[in-house]
Amino acid sequence: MAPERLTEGGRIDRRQVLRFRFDGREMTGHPGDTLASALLANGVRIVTRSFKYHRPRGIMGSGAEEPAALVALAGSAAQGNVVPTLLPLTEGLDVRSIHGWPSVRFDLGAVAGLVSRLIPAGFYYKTFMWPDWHLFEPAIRKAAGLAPAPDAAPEGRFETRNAHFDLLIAGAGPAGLMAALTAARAGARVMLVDEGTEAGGSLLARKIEIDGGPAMDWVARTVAELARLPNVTHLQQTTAWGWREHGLVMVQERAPGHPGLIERGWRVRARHVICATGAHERMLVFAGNDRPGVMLASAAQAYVNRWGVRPGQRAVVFANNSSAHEVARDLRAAGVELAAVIDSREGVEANDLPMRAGCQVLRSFGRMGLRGVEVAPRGGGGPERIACDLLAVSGGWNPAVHLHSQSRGSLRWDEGIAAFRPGCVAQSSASVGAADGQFGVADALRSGAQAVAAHLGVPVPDVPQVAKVPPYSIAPLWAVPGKGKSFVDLMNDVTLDDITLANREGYGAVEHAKRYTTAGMALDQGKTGNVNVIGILAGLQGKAPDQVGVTTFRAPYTPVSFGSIAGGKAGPSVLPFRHTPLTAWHMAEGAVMYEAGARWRRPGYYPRAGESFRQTVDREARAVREGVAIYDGAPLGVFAIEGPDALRLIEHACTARYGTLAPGMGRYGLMLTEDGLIFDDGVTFRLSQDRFVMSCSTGNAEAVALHLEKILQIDRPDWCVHVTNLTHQWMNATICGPLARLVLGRLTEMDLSTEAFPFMGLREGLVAGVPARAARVSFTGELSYEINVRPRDLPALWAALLKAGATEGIMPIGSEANHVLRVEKGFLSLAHEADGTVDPYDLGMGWAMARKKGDFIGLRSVLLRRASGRPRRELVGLMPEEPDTDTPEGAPITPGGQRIASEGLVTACVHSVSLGRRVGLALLVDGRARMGDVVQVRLPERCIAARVVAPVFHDPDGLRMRG
Amino acid sequence: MLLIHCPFCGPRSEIEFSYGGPAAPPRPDDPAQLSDADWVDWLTVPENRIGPVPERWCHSKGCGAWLTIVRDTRTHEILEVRHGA
Amino acid sequence: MAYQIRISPPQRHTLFDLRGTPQALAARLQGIVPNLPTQPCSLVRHGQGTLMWLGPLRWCLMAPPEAEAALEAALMQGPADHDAAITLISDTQAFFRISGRDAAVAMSIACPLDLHPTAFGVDHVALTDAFGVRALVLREGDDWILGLEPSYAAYVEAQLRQIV
Repeated sequence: MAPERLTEGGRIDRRQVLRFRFDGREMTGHPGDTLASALLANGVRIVTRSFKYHRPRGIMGSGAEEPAALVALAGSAAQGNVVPTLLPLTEGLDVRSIHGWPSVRFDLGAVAGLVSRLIPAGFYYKTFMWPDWHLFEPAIRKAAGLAPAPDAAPEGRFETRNAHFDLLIAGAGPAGLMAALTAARAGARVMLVDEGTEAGGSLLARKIEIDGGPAMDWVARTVAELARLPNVTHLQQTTAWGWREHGLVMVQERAPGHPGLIERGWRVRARHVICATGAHERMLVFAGNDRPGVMLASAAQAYVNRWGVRPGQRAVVFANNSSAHEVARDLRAAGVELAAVIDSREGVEANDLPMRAGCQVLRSFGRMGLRGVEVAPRGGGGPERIACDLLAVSGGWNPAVHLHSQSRGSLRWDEGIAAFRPGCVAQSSASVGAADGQFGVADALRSGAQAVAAHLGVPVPDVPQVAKVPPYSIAPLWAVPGKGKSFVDLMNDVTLDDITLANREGYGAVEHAKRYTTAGMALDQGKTGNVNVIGILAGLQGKAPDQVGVTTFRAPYTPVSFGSIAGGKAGPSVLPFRHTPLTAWHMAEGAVMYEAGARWRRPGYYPRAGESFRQTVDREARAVREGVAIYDGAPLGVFAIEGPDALRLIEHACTARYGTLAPGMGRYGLMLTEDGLIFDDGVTFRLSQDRFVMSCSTGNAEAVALHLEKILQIDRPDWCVHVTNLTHQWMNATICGPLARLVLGRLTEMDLSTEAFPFMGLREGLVAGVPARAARVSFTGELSYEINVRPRDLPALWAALLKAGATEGIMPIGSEANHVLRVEKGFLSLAHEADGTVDPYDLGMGWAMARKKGDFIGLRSVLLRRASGRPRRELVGLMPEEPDTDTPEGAPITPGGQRIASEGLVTACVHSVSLGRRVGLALLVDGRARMGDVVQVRLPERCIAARVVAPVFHDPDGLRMRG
Repeated sequence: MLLIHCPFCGPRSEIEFSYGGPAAPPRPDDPAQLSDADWVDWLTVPENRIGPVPERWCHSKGCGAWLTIVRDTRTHEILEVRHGA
Repeated sequence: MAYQIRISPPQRHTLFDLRGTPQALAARLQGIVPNLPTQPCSLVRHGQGTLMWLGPLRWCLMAPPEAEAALEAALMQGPADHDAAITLISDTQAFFRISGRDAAVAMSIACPLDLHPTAFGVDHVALTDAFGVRALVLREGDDWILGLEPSYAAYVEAQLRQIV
């Protein structure tokens, strides 16, 4: 058995042995141990080196409040920065200390401790300012810092559930259990969560009697009753770590006991929340209060009573309140020699204890751990040394108001317990027991029952009888002045001197002091130290603690894994791709797939063996210019717009005129936002007087649907229009190229002649045997038919088109070739040319602004902006003087190529198959007045000269697409 | 994450809704009649109060209704939800 | 203990989007569905058809795939009426059936609704969010039906199978 393990007592199973390693040393523990209790049982005093000064640190707490000890886990459960007091011991844990190099006992970085005068408060802000903190961060992490993130993903998976409960009860101590029992018996849907391995809270560590027997017997009976009720979900090792708006509580379940599941996150909507979160003991601030062997009194009590571990041979207890007296007795009962009980309060008596009332510990000493303390009366008098290897410290108790505060509930200072208590609630909730500052067990049971009964409107049940315990009393002692480092935040190495300095330098407001010193900003969020900081600031400023106030309590309450938040959303599923019915075909064909907006996945190009990228794209583009090709246009947005006011809606939302359209014909238009910027573009067809089909860009369908519905429901509720999103009902394959008519003619009986089916026409009929709407629109500048069919028919249509055009060499083309073709024609691509600053006139699309029809969305703002007469960036074509030189997309154009403010930018540059050279598009200040000029595209290392030309390089009159 | 009481669907998580910006006064019938200053004022100067503010939300993953919601920016309390403007 | 959940591959049903006032739709649906649901987010079943009330002026008629042609003929026969618009949208939704003892667990991972029997009864239907995608949720006995945009079907199926 481990050397410091007591032979009996505690809630561990001594019959079963768990093996683990700490820095390579083999150690043993038992089921029921935490990693912290097992380390202490094995005599481990130093587990880490501190963040800034590399001082040796040991375990000081027994739960979520642990202010000093952090370890890393290696192996399959690899994890950095684990709090050992919260981790149940399991077989085979491979534990590493963090900060020490080469070992925690001999740490070269401790030299930093010798030059600590050089690392005052605000050090980080004062030193690492230029040019960017992040440049320094890796070095700081290595020199002082935290454990690195593990290299590999953990084995197993995470899940997150949504849940709804009438009551969420956080904490399964006496108050929480009584609350849960009351609610469960009343039939409410109850969730009870508790961070520990077993229910009981403070009862686990104390020798209290309930109903004439051990308190834990009552706990066991209560837990058993809750387990029988179907309306109760009771989870241990589960933390309510964040409370958001409207009753949403974030919950992390760390031991879901489900095969392959590492952790489970819960997003709980609770109608009412009971905060039964208990209280945290405060540290006392004196020189050397961080020395291994100094421990919170409640932790020392928990180690002897709950885990059967002796945290020291000879103990001194130092407190400013009554709770530590019980600890002193329990330590003595466990065989620890009790050297002295130092109580800072005058006149405190306890005949059975070696009391020294009105005294304080001035400092601790001992090189690698506690060897003794120096004690003196507070009123003055000679200091005396008392040898000890355990100093149990209690600075009083803070109700754990974190959850209450996260819900935006207020706090009030209670002089009687020298702590902040919950004030007003902001959401439906109540704090009970120690979380409400009611530290007695009887009070806790009663308040748990009362709070739930009041909320549910049921009678208050009888609560069990608790054997009498002396009431809690305290007289604050915020700091013991003296030489040497007195820590207020151990994990971030913040000292009393730092707080004093911050106050002197004008950062005395509590939120400023926190940021200036980093007190309370470590993993423990200052659970043992923050109120001491407030008390110290209050003393320095001559105020009461409530006048100083508290810093904001933020989620998470304890460290939370990303996995329990993200659940199954990991890897590629974080941003899932959307598939068209043809995606599988494209991939089987070896297409290089691109994201085409709104997560749609479409082919970029279809490389053939031996082809370069340029050869592939040229081949595909040339097929459209010279032969025939098809592309997958499935994600194009499509809407049915019907009703007597359909035309009004379309003319209100789009720039063009549609009232003059004959049925079966369509028109291109732009959709503007009210501030006159381009939001979308597309073709709208008229099917009959009151029925239209509108198309919008790929990936913009959801946004356009919201926009149209907002007009109808908010601005024009009097209009009768029905808009149905048919993006997923009608999907198109587009056949294009001079031979498109010939090939398509083999698959349909529709009359495809220009007379019967002109450019911008829409016809319905059968294509390849399936019902289709064919539209003569062209985004390539060639003869083109967009064939819309039901998605279930799209693969068959696609196959039929490929077969029908086989002798003409039909081929599929991707978005790269489409891009080349549209640049050659100077057609708008929203993602390239519409950058949120240009209006239709800038793009030379004034023809799409049907001003004669009257007002439409965006018109007023476009006219207002243009009325200023300021020069605008206008769309132009670019011809690099060297025909094979690329001008990269986004490259600036600067006057004379100087390194000064730009006069425009390149929006696209492609290898034109029509001209056999590179051509580009650009937005250029006053561009249309500068045709023929040579401008300079400014690259980092050189300039590229390019001639300004009209933004059309192929068939300027559009005869080919209209033919 | 808010819980919004959709008049049609009942209480639903914010995840189902799209935010549509602060609720502007009704769009002028004929913007051409407005002075430049009045137009810019309507377009770009929404109130940004501390306290209850009217906002547009669309129940986009639910029934599709556009809603006007009065939300207290200090507490997130939702004081009113109505369909339309 | 492992979950007991079965997930059927995605399926297409016959679907019609119905827009308009209850009066106008009742007229158009005469002889096809005898009465409209009276509660928001609820449904009525008639023969093989299920009529759902999904939005203030929005309804959806669901039927087996083989009923599509006949239903379309029947629905489109009615007089063209501006107070109602009926559109075939069968291809816009892919439906998963989730069954087994722990089907409700899968649903609680998928979507934020309160699906407890006291909150979501057998005649309830809801448009909501599942794994970040707009989804239609309804119950059939102890099974859950989840309908969503087919372009996300592969992703949603992978998410569902990952739970199991």
